[in-house]
Parts: sequence; structure tokens; C-alpha cells
Amino acid sequence: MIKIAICDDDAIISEQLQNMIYSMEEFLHEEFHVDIYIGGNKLYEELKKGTEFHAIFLDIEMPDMDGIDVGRKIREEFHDEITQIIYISSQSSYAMQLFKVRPMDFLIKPLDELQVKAVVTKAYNLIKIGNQIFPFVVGRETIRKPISKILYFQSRARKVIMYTTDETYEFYGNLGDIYEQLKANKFFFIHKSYLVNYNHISRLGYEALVMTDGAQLEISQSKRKEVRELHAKFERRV
Amino acid sequence: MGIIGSLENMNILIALLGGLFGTYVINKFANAFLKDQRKSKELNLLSFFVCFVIVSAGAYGEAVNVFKLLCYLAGAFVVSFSFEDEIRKRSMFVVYTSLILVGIQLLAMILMAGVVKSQMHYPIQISVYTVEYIIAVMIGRMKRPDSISLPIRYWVAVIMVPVCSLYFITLLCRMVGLNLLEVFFGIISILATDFVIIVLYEALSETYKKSLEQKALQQENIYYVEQLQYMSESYHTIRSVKHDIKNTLNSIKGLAQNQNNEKIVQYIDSVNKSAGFNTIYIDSGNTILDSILNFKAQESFEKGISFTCKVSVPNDIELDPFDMSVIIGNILDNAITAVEKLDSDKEILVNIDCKKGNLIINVSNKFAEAIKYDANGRLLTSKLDRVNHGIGINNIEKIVKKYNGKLTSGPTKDCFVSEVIMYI
Repeated sequence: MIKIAICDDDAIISEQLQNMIYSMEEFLHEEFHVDIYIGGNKLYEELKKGTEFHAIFLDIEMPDMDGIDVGRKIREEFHDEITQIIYISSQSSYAMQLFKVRPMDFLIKPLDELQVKAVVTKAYNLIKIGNQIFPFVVGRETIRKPISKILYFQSRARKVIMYTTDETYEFYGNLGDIYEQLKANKFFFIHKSYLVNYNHISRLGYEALVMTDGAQLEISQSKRKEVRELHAKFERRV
Repeated sequence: MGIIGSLENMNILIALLGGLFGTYVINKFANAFLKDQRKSKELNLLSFFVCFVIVSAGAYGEAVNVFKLLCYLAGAFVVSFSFEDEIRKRSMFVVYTSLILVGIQLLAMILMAGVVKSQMHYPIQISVYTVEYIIAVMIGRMKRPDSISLPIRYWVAVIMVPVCSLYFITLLCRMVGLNLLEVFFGIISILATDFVIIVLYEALSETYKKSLEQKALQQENIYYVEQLQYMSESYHTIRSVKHDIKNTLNSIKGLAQNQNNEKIVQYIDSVNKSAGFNTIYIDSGNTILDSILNFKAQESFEKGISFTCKVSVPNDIELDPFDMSVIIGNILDNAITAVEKLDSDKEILVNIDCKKGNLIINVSNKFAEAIKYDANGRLLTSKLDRVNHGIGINNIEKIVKKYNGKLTSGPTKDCFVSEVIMYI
């Protein structure tokens, strides 16, 4: 089941969107649970209780606490880099601050059903991929980590260091093998000893990149064109 | 026997030396005339080796004849293959290079004719190579012409000169009744003319490049002016509507009091129309993108093309207006030209996103014509004026390169898609 929140001060639009999302259940063969929060404060209070969502549709213009603030709280206060945020707005003009929240997409009011469906499908795919498990062995213990929590891998001698949103692990392994396992989940090499998760890159330059945890990694000269190619490919709308 | 043997060895040695210098000169010329080598290293080495063998064969023996000329032509031709450039430029390089090499050899032969053959032959031959080397170094220092290609009529003019010169030189050598000094200066003046043409060629391509840039600048200005007009027009309509709104509301109120619903609907419709609410208007807040897109949207609208545009870009992102109008303007111009020819599905889709700090522009449209590629796998325009039209794509590529970006364009299943990624 996929948990979704809609946060908008307009109850009619929220319900309309809720219905559109529910109508996708059959098509995607997936159960959705959609909660509506009227106003940014309501959602913020819920998130403070520790409630987690896979995706949040967030209105930008709200009176008490706007979408920019809520988005920033999610990323900065709750250190949640995984929840997919989709902004909704009656305007098509967006402030730079919005992009710091790394939204998955934007929707414009009045909502267009086709566009909503495309966005829900895209979010669904991202969530599905992120929910997959990466198992690895540390000592005698097998740890199972959701892929959405993995930032990047670094190889050092015969060991692999795995950086995740919460912990860092070190285990025996080979980056090439891990790549084969995770290449369908948008993992790729930026250097012969660095394998990164595209979904956790916050800023991607031509020569270097910044991960969502702030780590700065260099892209080796021989990989730059390839990384650019992948960047374009991953962002392509079908 | 021993003496003849060593003389023979000496000749071979001199020929090999000639091959070495000849290849060096050809290489220098190629670097000055042609774009960077991009094919495999092995291929380059092979082409140089083949060139060396051919030129050495040509350098064997003192006589300057058609065989020698052909050897230089062939050598240069082989080398030109390891360079990735247009056929027009490559042929120019081949002709000029062989002309200069042959010219120098001829001059040397004339010099040699004046002295006792067996004694002075080798030193003169070696000094000829030295001269070749100096010329090669000079040419190597020449500024490389930019990657734009000249229109065909200019190219014909430029290449005709060395071709004719070669003919004149051979003519001069076979002329009876001229003394050696006259032939010598004849060749010198022909070669001088060719040097002048090379200099003029540089100037010509520079001027041509400037005029292209001027054209792009003018195009951008047109975008701005039209966009400004478009905006002021819609501003005036909105103002007049605002002005009328009080009267309008009063009218509606009157109609409502009389419960004349049909009239009310009619009235609202007419106001809607006049306020321009039904026309597309792209408002991403980014003035540069908006002005280019709205201008092109208007043009598409007038041509009966549906124009769907989604821009998700920070409104305060800094973009270079010139660069953006060249990139987006050219891509949309091409899309409009392609869609115009269609009978149905006249539709252009534009997506501009800002992802992970980079700009991604995606334009797609249906297309009808078969798509042609050139030898290097680049798209060819279907327009008649191939040279001028290709400039559009060249300009985009040049600018995109500045941003470490890339332009990809080509057909997918049923659409033609152009995609630009730029690191900003």
C-alpha cells in the first residue's frame, strides 16, 4: 500500500485530486491510502507525530504555513530526503526556494487529469523502486536496507563502504557486483570507486556532485559524458 | 660497384628523409586547416605511416614530375581521412598542401640545375627539407579557422586558385625559351599568390562567421520586439476590461435581476474572449524563457499548430538571453517548419525543467519527411539552403558546449525529439 498526503487549503481541489489518485488503483494494481490536510499547519502537526508518507501533494499558496515552509520542514527538520513532493499551484511561476526542496514535479490548477495520472505513475514507480531491499552481509549478520535509503557506495581495498540516510556500513564486497544488482534502481559509477544513487543527488554538476547529505564527490573525467547522458535519460518524460 | 651502392643507399636515405619531412608538413597543414582528430589512435598512426611510405616513394629521385605530385596528393588525401571534417575543407587541405610541397621541390630543382649535379645535390635537397620545415612551422602557428563552413561558391573560388596554380607551374616548367631565372620567379610569384589566398581565406571565414553571429543577434532582437508588442497588446486588453468591469458588473446585475440567464452566459463569454483568456500564455515568471516561448507560441497559434508548454524552472534563475534565444528559438523554428508540412497532428510539446541544478529542454513534434544523416552521423536538414540552415544546429551546439551540455536530436517511435541538457 502506498500512503499519500494531500495538503491544500482548498477542500474541493483536494477531494478532486484524491478521487483522481484512487482512480489509478486499478491501473497500477496498487492500493493507495490518501489523507487530506486542509492547510500547511495540519500536515506539519501530523508529520511531527512521526507519520510518514510515500508522497505528498503540496499546495504552494496556503495562508498559515505555505508549501515552501512545509517542504523545507520535511527536508531539513525531519531530514526526510525520501518522500516524493509534488507541488500544486495556481501559478506557473516558481521561486528558487522551491527547487531546494527537490520536488519531483509540479501540477497547475485547475488540475488536468492526464497530468495528474502521469505524475502519480511516476511517483509510484519511484516509490516501488525505492522500497526494494538491498541485502548485504556484515560479519555474520545479513542486513536488509531499503534502496531509497542508500546514498552511495565507496570501495576501499577489498571493502565497500555504504553511506545511507541514517548509518554507514562497511562490508566485504565488489562495487561491480553491486552495480549489476542496482543499475535498474538508478545507481551508476561516477568514478571507479564511487557508485551513487541518482535519486539522492541534490546538485549534479559536470565535474562534481553534491549528495543529499551534503557530501561532495568528484566525477572522474572519463565518466562525465556518460553521467550527463544518464542525467538526461533519467529526467526524460515519456 | 661500391660507390654506386653507397650512392643508392644515400638516395634512399634522402628519400626517406623527404618522406619524413613531407609527412610532417602534411600533418602541420592538416592541423592548421582541419578540425581535431577524433578517430582512433591506431587509425591515425596507420594513416601517417601510409602517407610516409607514399611521400618517400615520391621523394625518391631528383626529378619533379607528375608522379611526385600524385604522391603528395595521395599522402595528403590519406592523412585527411584521419581528420573529422567536412569533405570541402578536406579537399582544400589536400590541394593546398600538395601545391606548396611541389612548388618548393620545383624551386629546388631549378636551383640545382645551376650547380654541378653530383656534388651539390644532397646539401640542396636537405636545405629544401629545411625550408619545408620552416613553412610547416609557420603554417602550424596560423590560427585555426573556426568550425563554420563557407558557402559552396566561396569554396569553389578558394580552391580554384591552387588547382590553376598547379597547372601553371607545370606549364611554366615545360615552356621552351624561358631561362631558369624566369621560371624560378614565375613559380615564386604563383606560390606567393596562393599564400595571399590562404590569408584571404582566413579573413573570409572570419567575416562570414561574424555575419552569422550578426544574424543570430538580429533574430534575438526580433524575438524581443515582437514579445514586447505581444505583451503590451494583452496589457491594453486587460486594462480596457478592467475599465469596463464596473459597467459589465452593472449589466450582469441588471440581467440577473430580470433573471435573464441566457444573456448572462453570453455576456460572460464575450468578456472572456476579449480578455484574451482563451489564448495560450506562458507565464513561468522567467522573463527570458517567457518572451521566447510566447513569441513562438503566438507564431504556432497563427499557423494552426497546437503548442503545449510546461516550464518548471525557478523564476529568478539567471540565464543568458542571447544563448537561450539561440537554443530555444532555433529548436522551435525547426519544429514549426516540420509540423507545418503535416496535414494532421500539428502539435508541438515543450518541456523545460530544472533538475538537480541543471536545465533540461525537451521539444517534440510529429514529422513526415524521411530524415537524412551525413557521413559523421549528424542530422541533415531537408531545407534546400543546406548551408545556411545547418547554422541553426551549429549555433545551438556551440552554445550548449559552453555549458558542458549536449544537444541530442532525432526521431523516436513517432516523434522527432530535440533535447538539450545544460549545466548552469
